[in-house]
Amino acid sequence: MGDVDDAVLGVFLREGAEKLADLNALLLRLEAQPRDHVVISDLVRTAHNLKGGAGTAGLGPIADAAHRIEEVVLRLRDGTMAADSTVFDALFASVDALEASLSDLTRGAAELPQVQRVVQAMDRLLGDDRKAAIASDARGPAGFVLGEYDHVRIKVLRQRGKCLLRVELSPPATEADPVPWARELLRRLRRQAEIVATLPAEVDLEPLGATRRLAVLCGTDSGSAVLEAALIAAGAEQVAIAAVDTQGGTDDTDRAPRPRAKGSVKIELSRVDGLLDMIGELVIAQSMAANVPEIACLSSRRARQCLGQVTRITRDLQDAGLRLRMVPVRGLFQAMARTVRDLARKHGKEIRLITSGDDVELDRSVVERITDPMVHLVRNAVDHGIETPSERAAGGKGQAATITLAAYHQGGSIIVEVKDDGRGLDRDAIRAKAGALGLIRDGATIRDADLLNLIFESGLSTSAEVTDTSGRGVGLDIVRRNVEAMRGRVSVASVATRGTSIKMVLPLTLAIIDGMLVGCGAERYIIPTMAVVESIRPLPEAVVSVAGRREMLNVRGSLLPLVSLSQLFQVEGGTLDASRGLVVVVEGIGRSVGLIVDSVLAQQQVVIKSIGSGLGRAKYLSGAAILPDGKVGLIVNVDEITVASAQDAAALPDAAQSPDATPAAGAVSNPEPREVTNEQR
Amino acid sequence: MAKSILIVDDTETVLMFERTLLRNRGFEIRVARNGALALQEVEKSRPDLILLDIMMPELDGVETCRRLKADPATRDIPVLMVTTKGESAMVERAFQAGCNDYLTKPIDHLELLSKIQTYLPR
Amino acid sequence: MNSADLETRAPEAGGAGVQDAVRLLAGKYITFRLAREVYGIEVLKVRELIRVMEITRVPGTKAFVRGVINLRGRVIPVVDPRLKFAMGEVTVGDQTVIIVVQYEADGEELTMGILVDEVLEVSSIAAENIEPPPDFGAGAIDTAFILGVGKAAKQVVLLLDISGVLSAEEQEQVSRVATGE
Repeated sequence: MGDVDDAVLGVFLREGAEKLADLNALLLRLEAQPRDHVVISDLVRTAHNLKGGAGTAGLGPIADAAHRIEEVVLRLRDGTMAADSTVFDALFASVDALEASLSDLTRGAAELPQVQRVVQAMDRLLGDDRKAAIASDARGPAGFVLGEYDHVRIKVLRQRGKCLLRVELSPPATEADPVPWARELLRRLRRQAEIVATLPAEVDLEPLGATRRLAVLCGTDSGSAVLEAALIAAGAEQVAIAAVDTQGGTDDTDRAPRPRAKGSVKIELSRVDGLLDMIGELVIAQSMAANVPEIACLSSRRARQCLGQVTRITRDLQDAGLRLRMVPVRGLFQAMARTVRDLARKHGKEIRLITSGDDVELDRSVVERITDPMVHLVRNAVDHGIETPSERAAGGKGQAATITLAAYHQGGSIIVEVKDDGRGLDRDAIRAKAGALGLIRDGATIRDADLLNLIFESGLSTSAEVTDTSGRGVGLDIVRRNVEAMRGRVSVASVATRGTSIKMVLPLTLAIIDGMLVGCGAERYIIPTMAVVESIRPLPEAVVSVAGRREMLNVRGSLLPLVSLSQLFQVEGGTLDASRGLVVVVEGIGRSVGLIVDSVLAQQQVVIKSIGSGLGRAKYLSGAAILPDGKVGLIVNVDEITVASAQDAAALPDAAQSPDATPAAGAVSNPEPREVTNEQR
Repeated sequence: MAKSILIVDDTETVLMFERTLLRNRGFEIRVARNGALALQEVEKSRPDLILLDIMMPELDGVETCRRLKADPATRDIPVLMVTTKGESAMVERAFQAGCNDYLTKPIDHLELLSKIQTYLPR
Repeated sequence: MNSADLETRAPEAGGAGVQDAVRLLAGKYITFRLAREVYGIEVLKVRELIRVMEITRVPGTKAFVRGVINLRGRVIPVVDPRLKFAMGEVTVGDQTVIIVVQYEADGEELTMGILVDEVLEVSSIAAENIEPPPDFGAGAIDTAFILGVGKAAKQVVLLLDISGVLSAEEQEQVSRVATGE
């Protein structure tokens, strides 16, 4: 850099001398004609150029002095300072002092004592309030160090309706040098968001190597869920996003606002997940150790006690670890409050939002995955469910509608409900649309709950018009798919003119399930214990054939459709015939099926893993888990199997009317009706 | 082909600094001394990125930026405003006009190179 | 920021022809054997090499997907490129290795194991030793997943395009098979 610096200094010494001469001439003209605005503007610009040049040449003190001269001239322009002789004397003296300093520099002087005097003289003119005006380099929101104009930038972002987010990311553990990673990630992030600042600063990302944590302050139109998805797709390992509130400052303040983070629970995500991974490994290691034959047959009572204690502590640790992932739904509800308010205003509707169960905790990833469905449900409610104030008045309702967001525990699940007191679902419209799509036959009788559930079928929207809020292609089918992907369920209840309620029945946690390990040939599969009703070793005469094709099992008078897991998964050497194997009765979405397996091997708590990206979605499987012996077992998707089995049954001509099946036909689909999916009120 | 950068500034020292630094880094440098000349140069040579001083005679940086960003043909050229202290009002207008980012004089050469690398299209 | 980094980057910004594209392939490759052929994968994409372990078959996936394995608590798919290239499946033996690669497809970071007969070495392949993929003519082997042909130590190395092995089209097929459509 030395050459550049020297060359730049040379240019400045020449240019600076010119500017000072210009300043001198302009000051003389101004003294003669104090109201000449052209002269004042030229003065401002000349001082400004001097400042810029000096700063660039590395002459900070001269730049400071020039800055103060500029400030004084600006006051003269604004009329906040009288152009009297004291001011002119000080200005002339300052120009002289700077000229002398430049000569000193030309002669190679290192000290510039005159410059400090200029600064002091100008400060005396400016008074104390000057300090506030040139305050800069504020500590920004949430620890970011903001540059001179970043607060201006934030203000403009806000004016443009962007939301300001603090995003925290970690590079993948496998990334040895996170700097190039971070650069690429920021480059991608810029497609979605305007980046105001980063920590560590983008100009020097090296500290990342040690901290492995990148924080970004950015403004964006994209919701945090979208941003998070994009970041994860771009290779970020852990992502935490929090809204930054910058409403602290008023619009005309020039200082950095004092924002604060809100609506987020501070969890060091990467650490929590790292811990959970280790706990997961510990659970597996513990159970592998306990299963080693030499240990399993230990007769020493003390040894057994110690082992038992390790097992218990490991379990407790696992529970405690999982609780770390839990976050209250409050944040999500608050985000919805904003959505409701904005949408209501936009559509000219009056809506009151009531939330309950804000403190109910859900697994963090569950919260993340229901965010989009929630937005969609709320939009639907505002858009289609709730009438305009005049319609409501005409219908004898209060003008203000109510949307209720509620979260509560029910059994081993958590229910998140979105309820409105609007017009209710139009059953005729659903029937007509479903008929047109071939989902139901004309004139067929259908249970009311089943009819309402059709709104979750793709392509079925009861709204005649497409609005820009709800008509974005994300349908209720996506809501259902998202929820079911987490082993949750959706249900709907609606009363005409009274309103609609949609419930998402969600698992407490995504990470761990109790599973039944079953054998098929040489392979092992895991059936979620939650879905298992019972296991039966059937007598040959209990197995009946329907329409010559389909095997069914007579369970206490009800006919249960049978599916051989070995056949479904093309397992070599697996049992296909119910009478030679074992039948595990499982209950999926409202229906039961008997799964034919070779044997039941164990009851096992397993940590659910994704089957691995790149394989696509494997049908009838919902995930994988590491078994105690370190091998991978696949988790059976019971809901998919029961649904497929039901469709298969429908394809069989008049299977339900077949004489063999008559006594049990009605009960086949649901021997012990548990109201899980279809809420009726 | 080297990427080209248009430097717009009326301060010779700043021009010199930016030009020397960036030329040494293999960029093709063009220079304009005010906004009006800058617009002509953009029309002529379509630079890959523009460093735009905010306070200039004739057409100032804010207005230049506004025009660049209003024209579909030039809207996508990244514009980095070069600012000094005490220009809040103008910087605010520059952001409203759609400038991509800013630098503050005295310019730090690492920051300059970092921001250029950030905004230069690949 | 490293300013030298910028210096080297700025000039390469122009349009790249086929030759340029091939030149970009120069670099370090892990070479391995599939039957009698030698292939190479860019070292940068390789995360680790692991001894072959029991692979759990995933029903409903493409034939060349051998299944999934437990990579230190993570479940990753393992593919058999020989099945993909119609070279008969890899027979697991002493030399069999799973090369764990990480690559990006459609903005998604994917980790995948590649089953190979034997890992040979890490070679530097210079630009002048790389040629564009040969045209085997219609109906011959699909060269979509061969980026180029390199020479290292008098050996011909087929430079493998990892993302091509499980290319977008393939992936679609895989998932179509998987969902039974």
